[in-house]
Amino acid sequence: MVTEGVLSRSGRGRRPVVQPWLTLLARLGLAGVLGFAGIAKLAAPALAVRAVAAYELLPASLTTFVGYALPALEIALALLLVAGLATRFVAIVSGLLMVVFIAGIASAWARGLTIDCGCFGGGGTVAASETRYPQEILRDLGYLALAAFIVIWPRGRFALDSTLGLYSAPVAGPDEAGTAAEDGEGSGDAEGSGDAEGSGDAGDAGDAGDVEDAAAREA
Amino acid sequence: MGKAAKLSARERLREERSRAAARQRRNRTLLIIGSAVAVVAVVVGVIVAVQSGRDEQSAFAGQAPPATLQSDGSIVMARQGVTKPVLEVYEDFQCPACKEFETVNNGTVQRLAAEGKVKVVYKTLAFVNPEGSLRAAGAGQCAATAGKFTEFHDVAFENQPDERVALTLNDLKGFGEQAGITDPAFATCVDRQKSAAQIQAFTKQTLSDKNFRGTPTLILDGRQLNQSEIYTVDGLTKAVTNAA
Repeated sequence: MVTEGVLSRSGRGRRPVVQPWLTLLARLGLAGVLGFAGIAKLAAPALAVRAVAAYELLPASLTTFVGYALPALEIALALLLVAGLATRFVAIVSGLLMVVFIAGIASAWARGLTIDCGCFGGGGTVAASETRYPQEILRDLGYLALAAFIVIWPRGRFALDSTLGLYSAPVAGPDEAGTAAEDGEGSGDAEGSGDAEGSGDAGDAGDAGDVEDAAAREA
Repeated sequence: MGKAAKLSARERLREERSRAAARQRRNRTLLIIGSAVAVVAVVVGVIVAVQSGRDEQSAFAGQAPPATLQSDGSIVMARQGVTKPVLEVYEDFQCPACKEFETVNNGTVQRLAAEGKVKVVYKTLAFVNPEGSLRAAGAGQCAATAGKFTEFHDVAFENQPDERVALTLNDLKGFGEQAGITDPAFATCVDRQKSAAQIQAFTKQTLSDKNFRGTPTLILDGRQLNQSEIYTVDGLTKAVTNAA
């Protein structure tokens, strides 16, 4: 079992050091912009509705609801990103939201509307010379990239996900299986094992590999 | 027990354990995603409820106080003897956000003025649709001369066209008729556009002010009101009442 310990340690040694901090930064960055955008839209509900209406994409009945609900969704996503709860899922939703924003702005541009995106409050029709479509799209592409980073590397520092044991280490070896799993859950190990890193359904793949390793070692 | 049998028993146990662990992990993931969805649902539900409550529109059925044209082109609406607080309203007849403000708070402004709680000074700019806005601002002054500014102002905002479509002189004379102006001098006044130069000069001067962010701008005793004061009935009512 000495080998096992060494392997296990070397496995831990491969844990990325910088990435969890980068993920934390990406989470806070995306949360900052979403939270700011959401709160800025709360001041004047009538304006938020008008900003949505200016895109001329939704029927009037939906416009009102979206005008109220969009800033709420942005704020909720920001809170979840700060807390690090269901990080990958929340980052996927945030990324999709950015895609919707980009599509909306691009469509307004293509249809020759002259509107402000209303991203941070305000919005509505502006003079043709005051449209900022390329800048708005580039900015949202930047936030989309942040979201993508989090989707690929969801494990970050100070995340509820870790505390709740979302990333518990896969079962380590035959004799230590139980304890290893419990350790992973109990300590809220943020990184888990290198195997699980970055793969969508890390659990199954990691387990299969471990079982084979263990069998080989036993033999 | 043979070595092979022992191994396979261990393997079976091991597979079972790892399957159970995978199941547990999947359940935990679903639970965490579920709680995130619940957080979103609660936040969205609460905010939508609050916002729809705040997004009411004012209506005033009573008689607004008289509005009189001043020499600087502004129009003062106040009850006799009311001098403060002063609410300056910077508007453009073709500005869509101004229409939004009017939809929400026109009734609030008229009610507060009628109650003698505020002196309202309308300062009309002409820049959103340079031609249409200029004609409309001039027509507003003509309506004030005819003693029907408030009525004209309400009709003009209710019937505001897309800001890319300039209001014509005929549109504006029609608004005057709807507002109940019968004096033929009104139509002549609208056609002559005598105050155009004064309005343009005032517009240029106002827009050159770095603190001016566009229409509508509301200034209450020198303080620029924020969005929630401009666009919610409760916000504007409180701001004016507290300034009294």
